[in-house]
Amino acid sequence: MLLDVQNLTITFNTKNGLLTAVRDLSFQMETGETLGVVGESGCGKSITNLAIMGLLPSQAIVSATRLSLEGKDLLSLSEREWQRLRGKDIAMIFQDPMSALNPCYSVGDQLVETLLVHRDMSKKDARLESLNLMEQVGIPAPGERLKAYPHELSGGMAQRVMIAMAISSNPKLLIADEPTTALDVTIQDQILRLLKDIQEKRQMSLMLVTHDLGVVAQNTDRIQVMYAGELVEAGLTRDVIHHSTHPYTAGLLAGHPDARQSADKTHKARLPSIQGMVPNLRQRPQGCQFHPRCAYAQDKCRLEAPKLTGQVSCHYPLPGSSKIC
Amino acid sequence: MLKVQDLKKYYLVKKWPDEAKTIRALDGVSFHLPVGKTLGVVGESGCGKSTLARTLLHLETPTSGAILWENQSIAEIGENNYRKNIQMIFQDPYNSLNPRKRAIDIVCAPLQVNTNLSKQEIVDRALELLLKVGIAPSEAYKYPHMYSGGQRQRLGIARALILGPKAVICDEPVSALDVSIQAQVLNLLLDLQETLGLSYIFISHDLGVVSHVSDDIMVMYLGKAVEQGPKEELMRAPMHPYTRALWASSPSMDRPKAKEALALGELPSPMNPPSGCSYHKRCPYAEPMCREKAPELLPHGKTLVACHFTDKLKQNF
Repeated sequence: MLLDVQNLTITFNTKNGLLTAVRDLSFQMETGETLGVVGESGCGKSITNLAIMGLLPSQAIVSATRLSLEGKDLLSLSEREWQRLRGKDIAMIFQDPMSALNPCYSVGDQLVETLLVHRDMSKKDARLESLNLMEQVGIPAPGERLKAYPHELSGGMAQRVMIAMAISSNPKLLIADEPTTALDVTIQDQILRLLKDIQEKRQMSLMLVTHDLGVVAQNTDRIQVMYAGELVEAGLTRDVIHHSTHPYTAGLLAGHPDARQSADKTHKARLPSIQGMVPNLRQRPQGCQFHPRCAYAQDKCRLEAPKLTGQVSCHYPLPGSSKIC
Repeated sequence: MLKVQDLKKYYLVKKWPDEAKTIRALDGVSFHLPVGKTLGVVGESGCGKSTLARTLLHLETPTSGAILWENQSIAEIGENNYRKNIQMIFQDPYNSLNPRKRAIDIVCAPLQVNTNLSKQEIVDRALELLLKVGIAPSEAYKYPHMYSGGQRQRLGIARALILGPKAVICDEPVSALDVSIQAQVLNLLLDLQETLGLSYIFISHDLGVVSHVSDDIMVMYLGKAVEQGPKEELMRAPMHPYTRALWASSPSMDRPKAKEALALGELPSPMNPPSGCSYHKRCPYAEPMCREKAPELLPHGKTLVACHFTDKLKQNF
């Protein structure tokens, strides 16, 4: 097992009191697997990633019964050890490649720097290797592009450079945090294919974090759906997409307009939508976090928080019919 | 109701020491928007969607072409009267609302400028409309930062509708919102269309969203319409390779990835668009002819398609 997270809870000490961003989150990842993490903004996806990368600010209180990478306990690492691990064993790709790259250095310099830090290479080798990496991520005319500054690249190209940088140290786990949200659909598709390709070639584990269910449905082995910092549903991609049992997942799936389906409808049907909005994390509802928005909520949901059993964390899971409408 | 003929908007870009270049942001777009219908506009960033929106509102003066409102040109009806009929909903509900004004003030402002109603009447109307878009009167006296993204977009919608326009341009109205909120806002837009008889021009990069709300769809690429027509025809059998590429690359839950139709490479710079068909460099079906001659937008069944090889493509789908 590559990554093992048990009962991860992340709390922030803010001016207005304690804010629990992630609550009791447990999951595991195997080598070579693609895990999709889905949720709306504020559901704790990015905070979880930052915790795994050891990048949370000091006012964050992280507690977990287990947080380990290949058996190595991450919670007890010193900052020095973190620096050795971060970017080497775990690498990350961010949402906006333009702001993740340093505008003052050419992309070649930035790639070489990563290689010098993590791979113990001579400068000359590092230059050659960075050329090689640029080729691997499908950048045309890599030699010229090495001299380019980030603003001279298109969004898709910049994201390719980010990927080259992330894979430069042969990471065991690559976390892609909304890697294609800032890109156009045709480019999004190219980038997702590239990630898939690289992952297969290098037998790397890939965590694909996104709010787009379509993206995870086509690109992942397993999915976990998060809501208000908790795991509400987790399982094999086809099970979660076609037999979703949590009302939140089912609602998300139903509210997603699909090009092919709406082609056959001449009248404009209303989308089945989830009412209300995500709870304020400072004033969480009692019981199930989703109950104020849930169409199936009963008294038990208002009082008692459900536990994750099997695929779903719900007192009254749906029968798991295949996709609605 | 709204008729657009051969609308063009060129920008001159001077970058020293190069000579001034023309960017054809909008290069001959024509369409017709009937009462109560929705025209969806799809395309990647840089294809001229937003220029179209701004030119239609007359925020940009078109280089050539005509915008006719009920068979009258804007010069004939006057810009102010025109804008009472056509309004816009913006993409980003965070930046399009004045942070120093309360919701009620934001929604009242157009009435204060454009009508002679008394203060009380204005406030009453605003509250009534806010209720219609799902913001209770007790909630109406807050500042924009106190609302969630979805509520802010509702405010934006209320502001656009307060003057009772007949047409609304929605420029990516849901792309900044969370998935579960997107459906709510789309439903609201559809409800309002039904009750108020509005026409929409719905701009988005998301084929799924556009095809859900639209009656007609126009697919744009580098300032030109490459395919336009009724939604059912266009979505059931897209003819232009670019439409197919958009279709194939938009992620979907219940269909596997289509491989063949994908677009290659990236959008060329509008500063020096390729010769001939502007899509030929990315087109998997391109032939030498595409490099030389730009295809015209010609009727093909019920849709209009700008491609030399529609017959060949037809067999391919």
